[in-house]
Amino acid sequence: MKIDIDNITMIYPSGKKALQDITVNFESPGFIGILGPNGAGKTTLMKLLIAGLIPTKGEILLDGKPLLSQETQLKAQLGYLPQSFGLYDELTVWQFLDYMAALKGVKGRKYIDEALERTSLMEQKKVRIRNLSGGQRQRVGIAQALLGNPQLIILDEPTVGLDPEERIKFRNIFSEMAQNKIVLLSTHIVEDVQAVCSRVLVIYGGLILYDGSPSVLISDAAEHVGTYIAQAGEPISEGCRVVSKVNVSNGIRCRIVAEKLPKFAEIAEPTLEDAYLYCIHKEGRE
Amino acid sequence: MTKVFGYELKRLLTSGLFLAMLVVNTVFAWYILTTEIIEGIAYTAPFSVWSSCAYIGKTLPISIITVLLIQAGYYGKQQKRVEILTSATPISYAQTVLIRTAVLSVCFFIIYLVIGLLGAIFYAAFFGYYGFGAFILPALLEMIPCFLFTVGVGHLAGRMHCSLIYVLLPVVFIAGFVGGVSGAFDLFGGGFFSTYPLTLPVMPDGDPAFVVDSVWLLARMIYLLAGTGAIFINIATRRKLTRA
Repeated sequence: MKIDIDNITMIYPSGKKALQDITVNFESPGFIGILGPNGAGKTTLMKLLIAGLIPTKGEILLDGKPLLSQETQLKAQLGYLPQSFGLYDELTVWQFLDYMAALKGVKGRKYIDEALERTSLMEQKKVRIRNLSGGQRQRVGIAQALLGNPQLIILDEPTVGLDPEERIKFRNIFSEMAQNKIVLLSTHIVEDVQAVCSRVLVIYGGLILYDGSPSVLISDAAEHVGTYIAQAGEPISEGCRVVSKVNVSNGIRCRIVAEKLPKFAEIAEPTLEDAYLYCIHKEGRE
Repeated sequence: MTKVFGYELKRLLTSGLFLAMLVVNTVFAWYILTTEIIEGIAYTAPFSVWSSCAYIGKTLPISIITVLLIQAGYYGKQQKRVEILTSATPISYAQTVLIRTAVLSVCFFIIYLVIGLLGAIFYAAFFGYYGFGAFILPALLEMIPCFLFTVGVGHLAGRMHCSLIYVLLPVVFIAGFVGGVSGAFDLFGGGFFSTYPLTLPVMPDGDPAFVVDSVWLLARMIYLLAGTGAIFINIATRRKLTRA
């Protein structure tokens, strides 16, 4: 599968410009992490990819043909987990997945059982959805996205509400699935992207600031990440963006990113989170 | 799509709203039978076709309110949240609308199965009358256009905004119980069948012959076409309205 996003602009009827002249390609196999703050345009990009929105300008091609003319074919190969969704509370977990499988045209109990196994919901399969916890509901959402071995999986904040152990388990499942598919993962948890994604997109203000491997993004931030010990109430140096603050015995250890680090800061090894913040920071956007 | 229809039907049949409204419809139908139909409508026998049509017409507003309440659920907040998932599946909007219409038809059918059964029990118990077969065709002519018209309008209204379906509820109530369009264009028929026989000559058996006005038939046809048209307009204009 190949998706070409060609010069897409999306302006909502309210006048809000969500994406501006975006051009990007996705090809299987690929596990792509999408990073960006709230309102950056990540969800709009995902809605465009599932034919849930019509772009104001530009075109999306699926295997060389316009996506909107192949909506049914696209959706037959799609596993989608949005950031926020509802379930039918009156159905059991199994019934809901059976219902979703019917909508997707997925035949056979084995796909449902497989999705239940992967999401550790086998024991809850006869439980009504109204009786599930928040994390279990999220797992039902993930299970429906995995139904029928889809070729394109779009996950918007999939690990919200899951405990750390489950989070790691799921990101490994997504990683396994990406062996022969396109998996797009939008998340605020940079660690998840660092752990499993082969490619990362940084979106900010409707623009793609970075598109490439996480390692290159990290190496771009070398020499731009530092730490220093600050005292309580001490102002942050101009041009610096604080990544984290930790109380230590002699003050507060501040981790900062900056185009030019202050002389008193000690250079630190960047992580993907540092690199992501530096990427946004160097564009003068934060 | 049979499985999807089955699940949608299951959701309907297990919903508290449907079961509660089924009880309301049953109680109301029995009230109409024992207070109005028992005396005969427009000086006809209680078991005349005129009286049976008036019975159906007088129970229609509550059953249509029931259908609209269930239809409102299809456009409510919870459904919209589930639709975020279902809209990413290959099922088309047209299929969704047709499945929902089919489920609402079953809901309406069940209500009238109960109301019809109640009527049959009433006629058998009170009058020893069993000739119900003659009531079926006029009742269908009365019910189906009314159902399709309100469901079609309900789909259009619900897609624009869920609250618009709730606006239709008092409209149906006023049209059904306070007085809406009179004569042949009476959507429910309760008023029409209570007055129209009075204008007809009485036959030797004491009741006017059951001959409906051609304008009434035309009105039923218009309601039927308008309802069906509303459903198709809803389907045809979906993409333009929701994704521009």
